[in-house]
Amino acid sequence: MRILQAVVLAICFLWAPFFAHGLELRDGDKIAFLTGQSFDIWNWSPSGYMRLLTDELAKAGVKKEIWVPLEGQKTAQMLERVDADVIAKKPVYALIIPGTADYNPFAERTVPAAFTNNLEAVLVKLKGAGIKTVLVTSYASNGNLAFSPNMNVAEHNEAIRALAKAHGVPLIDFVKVMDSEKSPIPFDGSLAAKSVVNQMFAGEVLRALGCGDKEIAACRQAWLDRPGAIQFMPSVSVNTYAKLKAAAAVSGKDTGSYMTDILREYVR
Amino acid sequence: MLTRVISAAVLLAATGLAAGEIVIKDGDSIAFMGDSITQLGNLQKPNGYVNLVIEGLKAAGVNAVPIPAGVGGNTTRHMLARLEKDVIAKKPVWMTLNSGINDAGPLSVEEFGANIAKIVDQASAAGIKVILMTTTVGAGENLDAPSSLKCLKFCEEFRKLAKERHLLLVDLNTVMAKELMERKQDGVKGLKLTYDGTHLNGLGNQIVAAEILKTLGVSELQIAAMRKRWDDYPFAVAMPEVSVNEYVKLKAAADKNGKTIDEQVSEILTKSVKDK
Repeated sequence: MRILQAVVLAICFLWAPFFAHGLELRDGDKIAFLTGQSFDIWNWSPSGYMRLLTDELAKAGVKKEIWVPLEGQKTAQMLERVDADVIAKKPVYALIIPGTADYNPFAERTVPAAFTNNLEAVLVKLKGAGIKTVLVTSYASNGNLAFSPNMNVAEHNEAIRALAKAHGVPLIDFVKVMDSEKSPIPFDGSLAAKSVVNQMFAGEVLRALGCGDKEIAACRQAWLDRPGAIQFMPSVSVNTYAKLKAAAAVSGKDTGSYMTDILREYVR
Repeated sequence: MLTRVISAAVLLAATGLAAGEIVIKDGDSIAFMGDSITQLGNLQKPNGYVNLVIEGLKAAGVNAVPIPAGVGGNTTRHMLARLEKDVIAKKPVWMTLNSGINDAGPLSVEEFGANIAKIVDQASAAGIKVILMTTTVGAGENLDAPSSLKCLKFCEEFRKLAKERHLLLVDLNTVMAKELMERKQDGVKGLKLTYDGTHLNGLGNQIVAAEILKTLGVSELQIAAMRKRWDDYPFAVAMPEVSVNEYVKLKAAADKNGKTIDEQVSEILTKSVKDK
């Protein structure tokens, strides 16, 4: 009996961090991200959602290498590669964020029927392999769905919603999340706005992985104070820059950190 | 080694470029064909690379006329499709061609190679002299990213084509990668040559422009003088970083002072070292 109790306690202890966050992950579980172009650019930047997720999951005890990336892809490429590059790596979760490469207003667009067929085939394969799959609606690059090139996004997103419903797959309806978000920075396509978009998206991914509202709200609150979320490209002359660099060296800091400290001091 | 020397001599002879001679002549027009990097090279004033090249030529005594032909999001497929309208119809003497960043997702290396060959053939048939420029560094300046590795293959296609058709080649990828490696060794944090991992910042534009001018025959001495001048142009090579909450406070201060947030930040930084 005591041995049984000890075993139960040991299990509870090992799982405690995960239960605390409501996460359904264990250390070493893999998550596949099948994404389009814009997330390819932003995912690993200091303010990118991957960095936020990695840090947050590490706090919950999920520290091992967990990402199976398949980035910058159209749905046709996802379908072509899903067996070898995703399923063979046995992820527990797969998040599909399709569309950016498919609807890019400046590039050749995937026709809606092909988009739906490709995505459905990817979905069927992942489900068939027993991988918990989450669909995510596409993100309009400037957040403005009324902007004519982004009308394509709306059409693709309808297809994503219909597929999620038809296959009983959880959906992160990111466009709706953005619409209801009370962001401290307007979604104007600026780097600052994208930083908030990444925070928002990381929160929604945590939700999809089982995290509760309270924990997500706490993360979002903390991320607002996260250093390095927004970078500036100040228009100073090189000569001014040289002075900043010299001052930084005297302070034993790199120039970027030195300038950061000046700005922090200013707002304090 | 001997082969290289002979190849270089053949290339110089084919392009009419002799030591100290600038291939672009006074009054020549240059179409700058490319994607958003080239588009911004024209739009960013004064330090977009297109503007710096034109300025550099002027300083060397050559008044060249730029024809902007960069379009954001373009792959070589799009460039091929709009070549007639955006370049050939405007009858430039020269055309630079740069692409690859957007091609890395949807296009195979074979299609990329075929597209740039078609662009060169069509432009050459119209009497336009083509200058090829290898793909710039993107993917968050991560040289090992899958898209960066694919771009290396695109660069090989550019080099192969330049050799086959005896065209001038500006090897931007090699120059940028070298610069990144050197700056990495210096311990410089963050993005170095781009402001968002893809599009050139002030320093990136300078490096690209200097390499183009060098290939066009502008002397090292003249380029060095230009770069010294460009050093007074507004740009930065290290970026301060703040939290969202700090950004909101800076924005409020900027609004209060009737400035943009970038102007506000620049002013704070400039004032901080004014008397040093």
